Amino acid sequence: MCAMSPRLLRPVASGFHPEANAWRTAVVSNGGSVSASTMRAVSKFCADIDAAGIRDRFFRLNLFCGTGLNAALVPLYRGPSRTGTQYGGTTDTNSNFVSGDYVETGATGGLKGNGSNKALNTGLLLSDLPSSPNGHLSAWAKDQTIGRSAWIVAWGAGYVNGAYIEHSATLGNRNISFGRELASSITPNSVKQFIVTRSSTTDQRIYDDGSLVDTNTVAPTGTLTANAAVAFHVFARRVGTNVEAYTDARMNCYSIGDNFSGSQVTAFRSALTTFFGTLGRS
Amino acid sequence: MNLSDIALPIYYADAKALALVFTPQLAGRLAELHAEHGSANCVPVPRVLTDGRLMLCADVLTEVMPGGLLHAMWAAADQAVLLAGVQVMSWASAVALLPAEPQPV
Repeated sequence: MCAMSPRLLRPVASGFHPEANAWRTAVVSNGGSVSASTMRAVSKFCADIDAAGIRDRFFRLNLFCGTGLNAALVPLYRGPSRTGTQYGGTTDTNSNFVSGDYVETGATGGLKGNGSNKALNTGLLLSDLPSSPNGHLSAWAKDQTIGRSAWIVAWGAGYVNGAYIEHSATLGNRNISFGRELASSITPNSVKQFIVTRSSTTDQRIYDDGSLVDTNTVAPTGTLTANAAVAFHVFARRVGTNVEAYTDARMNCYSIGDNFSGSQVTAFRSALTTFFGTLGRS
Repeated sequence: MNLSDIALPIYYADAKALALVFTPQLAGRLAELHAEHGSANCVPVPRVLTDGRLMLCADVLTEVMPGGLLHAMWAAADQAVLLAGVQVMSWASAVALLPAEPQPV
């Protein structure tokens, strides 16, 4: 009996969503690789996002997947469409993460910070967003242990009226803002997905694990636009030339982009939940 | 203890419990090596300690062997200078020497 041709066993490029194919090409170009199962999951995610009509909400999205750290540094989305203008770095510039910090699947899946010196620079600026100072930040993170200020997706000077998501594991603080801070206490690590979205000067909303928890109608201050040239960082915040306030959370993904409606938040969460379920992550 | 006392390759679990501490001069040479041989996939960015020295988590050593993200930099470095000039201490000791982080509002 003849052995099956290896060509027949490779994932067929035409069977996957074009954005998944483009992402895989970028991953390979960056020295990584993608398993067939991950390709199917990413393709399904892309299809779900398209079906929900929310693709144009994303200016940057990294699902931290693929085989090897080089793959995990390649964002799936770098602009509101695949063929339009792309923003930020072709990869997330990695400061100090090593291969051992990344696991693709299972309960320990994701990229793990250390609370002291590991961060990513997206290269995406607040001024890149089309309706700046409106927009959204999201992060899906867990297992944080440090209690001091620790940032998941942050920009500029941060405090009070910047654009950031922050969680303190021992104090239970959740400080989150897209121009107007909500500072409140939650049970530490009880929330994995944080979303903050602003659609106008009188509408900023915050969602914890998909549930609306705060609506703010107060306009953002000048801080939000004063530092528009500073790139969004993940796992820490950038203040002037300093990177500080690192988190030791394990992160499944982050996204930055245009504002969400409530139904769009729900659709996004549904697509992510399906994707992470396939990878065995929570 | 200094870097010459570390046997390579080193396990990730062991390496992340250690820190590499060195002078600003060595940090400058590190930046030069990265500019010549490194990539955005792994940029060693030392943090400044309160005594003016700089530090990295020693888990970067897991990337210096062939195939690692930092192998090209490692191969181009002056090993004699590195091995003698880089102090190794526990990660906890190095973290204790970091400047205080901002506290939650």
